[in-house]
Amino acid sequence: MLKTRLFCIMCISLCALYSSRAQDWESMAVELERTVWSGAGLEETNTALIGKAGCYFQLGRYADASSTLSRVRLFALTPEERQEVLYKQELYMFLSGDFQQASSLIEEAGDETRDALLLHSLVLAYSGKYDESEIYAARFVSWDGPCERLPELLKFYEGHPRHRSASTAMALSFVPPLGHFYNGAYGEGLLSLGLNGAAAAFVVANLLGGYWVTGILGGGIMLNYTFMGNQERNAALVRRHDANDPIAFGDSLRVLLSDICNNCAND
Amino acid sequence: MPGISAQGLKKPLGEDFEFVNYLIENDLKLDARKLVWSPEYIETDSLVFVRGWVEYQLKELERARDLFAAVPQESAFYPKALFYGTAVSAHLGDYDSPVQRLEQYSGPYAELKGVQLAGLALLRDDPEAFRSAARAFSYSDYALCAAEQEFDKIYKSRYESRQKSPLLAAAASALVPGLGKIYAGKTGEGISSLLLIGATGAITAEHWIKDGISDWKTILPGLITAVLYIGNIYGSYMSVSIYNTDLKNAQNTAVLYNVHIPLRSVFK
Repeated sequence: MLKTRLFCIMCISLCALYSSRAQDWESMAVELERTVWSGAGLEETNTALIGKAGCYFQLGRYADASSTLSRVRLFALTPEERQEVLYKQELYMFLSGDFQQASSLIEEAGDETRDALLLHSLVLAYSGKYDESEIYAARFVSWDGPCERLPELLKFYEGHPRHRSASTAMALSFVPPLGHFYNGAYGEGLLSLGLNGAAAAFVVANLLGGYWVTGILGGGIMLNYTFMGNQERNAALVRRHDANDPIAFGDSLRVLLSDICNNCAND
Repeated sequence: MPGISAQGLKKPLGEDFEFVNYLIENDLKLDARKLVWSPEYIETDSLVFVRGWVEYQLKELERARDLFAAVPQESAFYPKALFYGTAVSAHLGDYDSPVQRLEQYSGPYAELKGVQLAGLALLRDDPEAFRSAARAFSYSDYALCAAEQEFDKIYKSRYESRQKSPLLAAAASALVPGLGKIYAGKTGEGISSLLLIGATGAITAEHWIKDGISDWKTILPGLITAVLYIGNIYGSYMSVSIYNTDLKNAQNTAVLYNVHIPLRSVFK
């Protein structure tokens, strides 16, 4: 059931979008909004907004679902209802790809259900907060008691992507291959080393041969492209890693947790 | 029988008009679209306009244009549909058909009509039509004053001032490498061209003095310098051509903006 709720939501919602009932969800959303517009009481308004968010969810419009829930007057809800709403909002934000915003709701959404633990671990992983994610993932797999695949999960987290510092990459890129090596681009680093070496050799050879103008100006032009280009490339690699690594890690974590769930279900 | 659907009685939109506005104002435009395209309403001119309005809010410009164009002259919404329809058509690159509709209009929004016709004339690159339309400018209506002044500025810049010449830029770069780029407004590129061509020229000169003109060490940098020099002349020519095109595009964007924005104040 857990898998179905969190791993197949997209498929279900896409099916809903193209099903004959999709039209009904849209109409229902409009009618629920009419309840809000007509000046209903707090309780009715909140019920309508929560229902409307559910309609958007069925239609696969997760960002709309999340923004609808943000209009719910939380102060008028019981603590349990409030947690439920915030959990749903976190889920919708997660499904719409707004991981950072979703992670800001974790504390308030609570961690009293297994679904919440799974969601928190995924949200935090996709946000690049691996240590916090690990705690929730470990609690999730150990929900029904000790899990024999827990060490595998912890080992998986040990290999999480390291955050790359832009300033370190910039500092290392002054020594041509080091910046690339820091970013894991070894082949490109060796190529950069070769190009910068060739430019430096050109300068030295010309200066030794007495061609001062050629050595200084020609070498300057070449190094301008090879050396400065090397720094720009490293800055771009850091940005790319920081944007892509948490997504790749989150995708792998999702597969692993799904596998562990299957295992537990079979046991 | 009109007003009766297969399912039963239809209702007029009037009852839900405020609700549609509420949905649009609260950025629930997809909900508004769902509502106004519902088959439960009687098909009226108002409904056609409101559908066009919702499509316009959703930036579905082609649908909005067609719906605005379908609002008949007898409708109370006709002026709004006409002027918004003109703005939408202009955004879609259709500058001719709205002119015909505007010229037929003889209602109370004569100055707005002049502003839109002037804007369309600028977009069609027709200075004569602009001068004719600009006679309606009063420069006293706060909603239209900014647009009128902007159109005058664009007209003067486009038709009364001298434009930058690509040939002059090429000649300047032939005289001093990079000067044509500076003329085109790309000072950084001009200076860097000057330094690059100067450096390769200096390298060529050094080898010429030390190794003679027929040595490959002179010929190679000499060829590179020649290619860079000629390339820079061509680049300067192109830079000014691109500058002129970009300027015209920026002016057209400003025209589109000013054809559109005053409508919000006029039809509050």
